[in-house]
Amino acid sequence: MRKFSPPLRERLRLQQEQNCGHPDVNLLVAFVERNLPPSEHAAMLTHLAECPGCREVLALSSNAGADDALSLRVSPKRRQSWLGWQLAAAAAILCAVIGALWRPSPIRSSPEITASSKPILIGNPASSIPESLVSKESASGTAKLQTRAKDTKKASRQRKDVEFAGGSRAPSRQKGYSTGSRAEGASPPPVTKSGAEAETASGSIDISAAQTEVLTALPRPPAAPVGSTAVAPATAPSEVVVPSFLFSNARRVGSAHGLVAAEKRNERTVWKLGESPTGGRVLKSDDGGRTWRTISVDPRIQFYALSASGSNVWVGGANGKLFHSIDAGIHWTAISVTNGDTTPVGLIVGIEARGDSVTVKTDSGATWTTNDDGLHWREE
Amino acid sequence: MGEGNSVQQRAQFIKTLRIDDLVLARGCARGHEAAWEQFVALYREKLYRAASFIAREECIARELADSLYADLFGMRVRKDGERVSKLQSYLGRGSLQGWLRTVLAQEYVNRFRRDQRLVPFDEALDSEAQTSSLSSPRSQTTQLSESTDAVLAALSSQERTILAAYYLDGRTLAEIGRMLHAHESTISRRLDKITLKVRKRIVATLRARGFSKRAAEEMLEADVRGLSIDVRNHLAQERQL
Repeated sequence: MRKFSPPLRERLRLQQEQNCGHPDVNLLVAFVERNLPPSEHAAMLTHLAECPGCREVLALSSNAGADDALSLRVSPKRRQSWLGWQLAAAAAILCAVIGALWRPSPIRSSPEITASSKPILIGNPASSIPESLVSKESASGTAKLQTRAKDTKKASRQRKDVEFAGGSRAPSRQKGYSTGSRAEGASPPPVTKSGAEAETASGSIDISAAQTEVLTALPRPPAAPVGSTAVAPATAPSEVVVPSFLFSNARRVGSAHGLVAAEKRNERTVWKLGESPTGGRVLKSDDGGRTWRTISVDPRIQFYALSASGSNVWVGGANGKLFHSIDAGIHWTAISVTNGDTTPVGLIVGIEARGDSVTVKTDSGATWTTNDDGLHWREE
Repeated sequence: MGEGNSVQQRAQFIKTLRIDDLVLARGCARGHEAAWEQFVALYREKLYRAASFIAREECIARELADSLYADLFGMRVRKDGERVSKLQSYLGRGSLQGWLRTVLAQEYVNRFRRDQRLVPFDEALDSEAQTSSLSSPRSQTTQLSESTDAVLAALSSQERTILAAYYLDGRTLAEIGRMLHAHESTISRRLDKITLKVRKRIVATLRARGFSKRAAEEMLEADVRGLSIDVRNHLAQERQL
């Protein structure tokens, strides 16, 4: 419990000024949306530290924004809302209905990983690749996925033999996942599991794409039946190979279109970049990759990198453009990557986020780092 | 922008402007019907929803939103016949939606929450009592107050804002996060760090003034207001005798 004793609280309160000059409302909005240059931002913070009125305006405005997006009332901590139990009851009923209607898909045979390649997990540990979707043909150097006969017991034994990266036995991982991020000590990427086991899968998802060719080998699937998930993109996406010196594990990061960032604590929330041109959009799934919805960030920007950790999502792309959301994609803020004199040139092709610290890498080899959620940057 | 800004800074400033929103706002301020049609389609519902969230009470929310809507439309007319619309004051430095929410919040705070910002009578008495106790030189309270003031002044603006928002305003971590555009967990970590830092520095300052560590920590925990009231009551009883 935080200890901030009454004497301290009293001195803090006495430092507040009741009759101070207030900034223009345009500046308040710009502050909330991080559109102020550093000097003005600092001046605003100084004022906010001593002005309870402006803090209240800011709190109401910024929280009304979050509420506005969700179209739900958010009860503040101090007040009791009668809506709370009604919403909880509605959620419980919905879960019960979904549970009653949902039928697990029949356990399919687990695909076998050939010796020379490893599959890429596109954000859904639960998906199994139906036989009809597996291409027997492979381009040069591509991996081949084979399915075995539908033998439940045999498949079950095989699944036990396959380690699921990020499962309960996996070592602890970094918080966010980004292009080419490494999962330290990670076991090889997992095979897909059947829908029946999706619910029990735990842990994080390894997205370090060792091979991109698997994507290209798989044709676009037909409308997927319940319980299975289409994995392959429609056409062979152009591959973006990032120079290995940008990443310490020296792995190829795969195509921009296969980039996936997965939420560590809740594997059902998955992010990815869509097919080129991304059109300033990102794709989000709240059900482990079964269904995706498009979130428009900025239609003018082509994105090449994405990192997500909890509700903190960073996405970057052409012209050094970087966007940040703290509420899982409801609101986005354009982040100026600059040290006051220069800005990154080229594409942002890598993002690594760890708490307040974020590192972005460009295709020209530059690395920029911030330790305060994007307020100040320095070039490494 | 000032004259001293470089070309790059000006270019950067122009890039941050919301030109689309600015054009729409200016069009509405001048009374263009097409602009108003678009404004109504995009923002009317959001305006009323934001007012509902801010005001909580439906009647106040409705009054707030209606009042702002009228101001935006420009019910007042100048002598030259030009409408005076609040949208003219929108400068495009943030989104129009954010601006509308902030104006609503400001109006709400100014009109309906003015009274709550006044210091309650009993707290005013406590402050006076504390002030009077400060007048006795070199008392423990004085030492603690001076140390606390110095330590708090040395904090960064953001740190003081987080402390004030949490301990004085009663904001939740999530609310503070949205204010400062940081994640709730980030705010939680920072708050822990700041609180610990403040306590350590105050104890260190008091120790530098000659107090033992235990005495310093006890001073930190003592409720000064309670002590002041006891002294007043004691004095009042003495007078009666």
